[in-house]
Amino acid sequence: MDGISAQEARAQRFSSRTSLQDRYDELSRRRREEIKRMQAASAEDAQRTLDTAVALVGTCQEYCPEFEKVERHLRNEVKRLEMRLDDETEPDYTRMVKAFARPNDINSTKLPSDVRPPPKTVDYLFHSLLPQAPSWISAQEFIFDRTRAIRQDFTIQGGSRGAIAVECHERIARFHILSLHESRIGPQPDRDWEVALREHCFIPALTTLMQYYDDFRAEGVIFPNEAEFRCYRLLLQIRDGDVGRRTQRIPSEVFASPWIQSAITLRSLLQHPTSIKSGRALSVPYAFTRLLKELKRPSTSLLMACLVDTHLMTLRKETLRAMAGSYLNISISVPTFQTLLGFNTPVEAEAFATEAGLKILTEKSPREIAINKSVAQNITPCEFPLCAVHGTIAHTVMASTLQHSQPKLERNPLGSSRSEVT
Amino acid sequence: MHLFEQVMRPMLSTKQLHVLTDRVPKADTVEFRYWVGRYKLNLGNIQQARDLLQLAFNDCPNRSKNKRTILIYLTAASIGCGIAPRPALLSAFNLHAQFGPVLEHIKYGNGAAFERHLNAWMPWFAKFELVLVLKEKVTFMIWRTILRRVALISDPGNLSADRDVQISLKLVADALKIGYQDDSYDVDDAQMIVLCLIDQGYARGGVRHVAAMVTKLHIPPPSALTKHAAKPHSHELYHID
Repeated sequence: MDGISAQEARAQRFSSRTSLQDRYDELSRRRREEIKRMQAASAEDAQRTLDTAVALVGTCQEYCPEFEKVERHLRNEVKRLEMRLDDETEPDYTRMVKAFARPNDINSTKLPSDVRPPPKTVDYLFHSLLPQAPSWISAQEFIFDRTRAIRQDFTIQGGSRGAIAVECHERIARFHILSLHESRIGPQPDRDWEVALREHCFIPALTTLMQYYDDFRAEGVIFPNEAEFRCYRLLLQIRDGDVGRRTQRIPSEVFASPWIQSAITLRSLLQHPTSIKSGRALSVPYAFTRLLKELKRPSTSLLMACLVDTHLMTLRKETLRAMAGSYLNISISVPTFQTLLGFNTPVEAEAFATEAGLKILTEKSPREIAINKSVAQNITPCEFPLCAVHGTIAHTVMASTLQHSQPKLERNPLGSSRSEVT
Repeated sequence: MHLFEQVMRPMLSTKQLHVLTDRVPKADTVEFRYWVGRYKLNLGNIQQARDLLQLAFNDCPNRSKNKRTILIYLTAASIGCGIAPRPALLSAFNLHAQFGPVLEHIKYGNGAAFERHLNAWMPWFAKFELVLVLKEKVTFMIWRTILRRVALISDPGNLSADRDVQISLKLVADALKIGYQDDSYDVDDAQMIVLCLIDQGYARGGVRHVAAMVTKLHIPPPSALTKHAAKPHSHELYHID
């Protein structure tokens, strides 16, 4: 009995496979024809000047072009989050989302049927998929890749830039901040190269956004969230003097907004003397406890705190070096150490001290951390990885933000500012 | 700016910058030093920036409009190094309204007034891309003044005699509260600020954190810390102390 049913199942599997292959052949034949037509049309286009050129407009009305769905199904490249909810082995074509592909792939010719007009996919990813996903960690990798494809679609359809493009980029950028924070210092930090990759993809996303703001301002369109995203830019690349310089060239009413002013204060407190490439900087005001107080002010939003959080470990190390260099006492009690360097628990403080090569004196109560001048020479920049100790303060900030219940609070930072995006 | 760094790297070695020979026309030398000086200022390397801008300023003819622009950046870089231009020089170039109050607030450690002044002149400073640099450097110099003033009050006359003093961090915290008109400054902040000053050599001494004291405190004049290739003209600049 079992033998027969297994045989039937096998036959069924193969027949579905065959029909899938047929479907794939049919679609790729149609695709080849479309490419030929496109090439013929582009031969005519070659005569046109840039002014009269026609921009590509996407015609794919789903989250993913049909050709890609079948192709990925056939190649078993369907992600878990695209499978059916009741049966995790079977892909759900309505849940599949176009994946990011490098433009220099073999199939690089972009057809209108491959490109989605903006942008219900963003709504799907943040409003439907993210709440349903089993965990943030499992979803972020997927969303990271899919939002990259969305940005690519916008780039291809150069003519369709508009308020909608800005809004989508803004929401994607907010997601990136949370993702960067979680991957650096979340409960399950990523490896260094993964963090670098995330940052590497986030910076172009923000840069595009800044360019949109500049371009639209030239046309007289001003976006309400500009200051917010300029503020994130200042806090992401704190060592980049060019970012600071460019930010000052925006109109003074945007520059004077609380977002940017607060970011400037935080940025100046985040610098440290060894942060510049050639030699030590002079007159750098860094004071860790001031930074913590600045962060707990209501003017600091959760996402700002997330960005600051990613720089904290380096600054803690610098502060520890300064402490070791000028303390006359030979030890410091763990609670004091915890307060001065802003750790949430004594355990975090001790873990940090151990990583930095300090001895914990367990015989005393409360426990103490040995600290002396010889330590100062041993603490070199980037001696231990950024994600080794958590000590994250964004959660503390979140708690204090909730207390203040400011209008700035973003209960759903990824949510759309409008109720419905079409 | 990143491209600038790549292209200019061979020319940016310190030797090259100071040994521009007589064969190069003076106008080009001034322009070159001005731009490299601004680049270094943006990078946070204010000592090199100040040296270059000072050379550019000295070489720039008095009738040139550029002299004022150079002075704006030179003043910003000098403040970070603890050097202030004379009020007469600023007045001569019509810059007293912008920088005069900044220097005064540094002298008296008046952080709150500095913030107000910076906000009032924000568009002007932003036009010259100096807001971020000033905010950072002036804050630091104000911290230094506050510590110095507290030391002077606790032990009058002894700083000049080069004797070390001992002060309590509580006093520093109180002074910070007054200077910034902000009650959130506490002993921990005072300690961090003192550590920051000692770490960068703007003060010498040791911290006893259990007793909340700074001992053997000595605050050298800022000129002792920076070795300038270009000496300020005695009639043009003076030290902040």
